[in-house]
Amino acid sequence: MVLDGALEAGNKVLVNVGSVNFYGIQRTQNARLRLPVQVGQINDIMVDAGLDWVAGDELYFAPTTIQMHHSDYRIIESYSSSTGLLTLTRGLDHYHYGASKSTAGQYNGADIRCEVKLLTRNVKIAGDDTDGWGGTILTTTMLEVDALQTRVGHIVMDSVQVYNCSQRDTYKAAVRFDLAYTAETRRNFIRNSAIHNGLGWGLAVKDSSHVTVENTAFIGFRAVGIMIHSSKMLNFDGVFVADVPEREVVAIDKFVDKRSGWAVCSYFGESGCDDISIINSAAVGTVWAGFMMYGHECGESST
Amino acid sequence: MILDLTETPILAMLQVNGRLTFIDEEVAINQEGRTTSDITDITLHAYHVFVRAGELNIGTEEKPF
Repeated sequence: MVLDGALEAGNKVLVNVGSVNFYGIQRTQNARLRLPVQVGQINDIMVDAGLDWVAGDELYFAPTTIQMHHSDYRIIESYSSSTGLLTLTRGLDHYHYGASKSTAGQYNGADIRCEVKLLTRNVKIAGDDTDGWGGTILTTTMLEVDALQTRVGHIVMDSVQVYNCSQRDTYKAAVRFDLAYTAETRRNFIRNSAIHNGLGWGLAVKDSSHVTVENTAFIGFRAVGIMIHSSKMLNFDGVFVADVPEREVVAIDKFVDKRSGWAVCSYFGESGCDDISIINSAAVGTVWAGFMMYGHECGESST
Repeated sequence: MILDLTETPILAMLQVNGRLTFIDEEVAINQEGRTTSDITDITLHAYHVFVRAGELNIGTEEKPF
């Protein structure tokens, strides 16, 4: 599918030049390990108590050692809300660090306990990437010459699970904003969502504006988790990018692929980005770099 | 238009030029006379979904799906 003869939307795609509004039931996404867990451990896994997690929910355990590939994805067999004890349907493949209290006081503000993320939501967008070609969700602009009308897409995704989306070895991320310049009154939102396990990028924002991403996880993508290029007025707060390994096809000697958890105005070189805010966010289990972005001039206070 | 099919066929292309809304559980019970046990997941299968001149809605901010 090609829009305006220029923008390639790809196949298996939700193209939005109208309005997409998805609101699922909000779940508790974030928890920490309260005790270390060992390889093969399946029960007595202690996380925070009082969560709304139930049997059948899917979890992600972030790596806590120098081995950035040590992520685990598991299904809950049972969870006790009163004690915080988890039993999984299968033992863990890797060690993960946990402790009853934050380590922020010991490590300059960094809490190094394993972050455990809930991936399950009741509104799901599921791609089929068995051919390496998962779905994408594209919000963009389309000029309809016959009607002399420009249509600009607007999307709100709140508490949505997106998986098996993005397309291998392309720029077609699971969620894309491309040529989606809009106004503050039509700001796009992605909140409280889990976007996970694709064969390409997680999120791409290119030539777009007014996108807010809050309390959302992008987990299990390849080479790049989040890519931002030539865009403005973007807000990221509480965004967790994890498990972003290298691509599988890098077979040429001395070829170094571009890879990063976040590639902020840096993937295609310096690019007229403006007013981009990233706070309370993280990159975990990302090969080579967590954040790649241009610095600013000495003394410059606003970039 | 309300989508209330448990499972759609695999659509080659779905173009939305009005308003397409996944049915709300309460609406299904109160307006269509269904029982709670009738309520199942709603799955839309498609290769291309093109929201052109309209809206695609699942739940609302006040009343999530």
